[in-house]
Amino acid sequence: MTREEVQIQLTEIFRKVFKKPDLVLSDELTAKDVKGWDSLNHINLIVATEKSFKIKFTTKEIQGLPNVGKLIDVIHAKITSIAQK
Amino acid sequence: MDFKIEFFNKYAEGYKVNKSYTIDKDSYSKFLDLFKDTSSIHTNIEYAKEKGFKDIIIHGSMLTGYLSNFTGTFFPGDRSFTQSVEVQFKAPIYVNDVIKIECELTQMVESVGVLILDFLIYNETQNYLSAVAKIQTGIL
Repeated sequence: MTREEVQIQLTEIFRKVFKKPDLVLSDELTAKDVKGWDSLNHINLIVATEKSFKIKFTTKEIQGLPNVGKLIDVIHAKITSIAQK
Repeated sequence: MDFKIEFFNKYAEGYKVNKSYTIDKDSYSKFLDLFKDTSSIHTNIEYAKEKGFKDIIIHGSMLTGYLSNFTGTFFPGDRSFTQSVEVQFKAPIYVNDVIKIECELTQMVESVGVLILDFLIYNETQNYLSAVAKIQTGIL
């Protein structure tokens, strides 16, 4: 799966969690930019992301993520790692 | 050891557990007295029978109370707190029916300390599935 494909799949997750069908993800996007991105929706986002991509994050991996771009990087790295095993 | 770490080490996705409850008349009366939803289907036996039910039916929200008892005192238990509940009511439950709540741990998200629990609520007295539910709960 390419990084772009990860972004497309993640976009659908964001749209569903935040109930915003037109939401467009960019690498620079942060919680401040999305209305409703509170602590509970952040949890919902992680839950939905793990399920959709069939991956497991560690607490360290998701703590202090500065923006969506870094989240995409973490997901992409995990998927690539799984595919290589 | 931290309870959350212990919990996530102890259980795995796919774990199943169940518990039965009797919907006794006293509990039903207290629920009715507390929330005062006295709509006919829940209080008027003639009306309920006219609409095709055997008796007055218990409130769906009372059923969610038993789910709360299940998650808060049984599994995952004392250190859990509910974040969301989705319930679909399939078939009625009457006073004095026995229900069996079957729970499957379908997703464990250790990074944020969250569990997704899927429930089947069987009415053992009437011998049918009464409700399905999904609960997202956090572990403290």
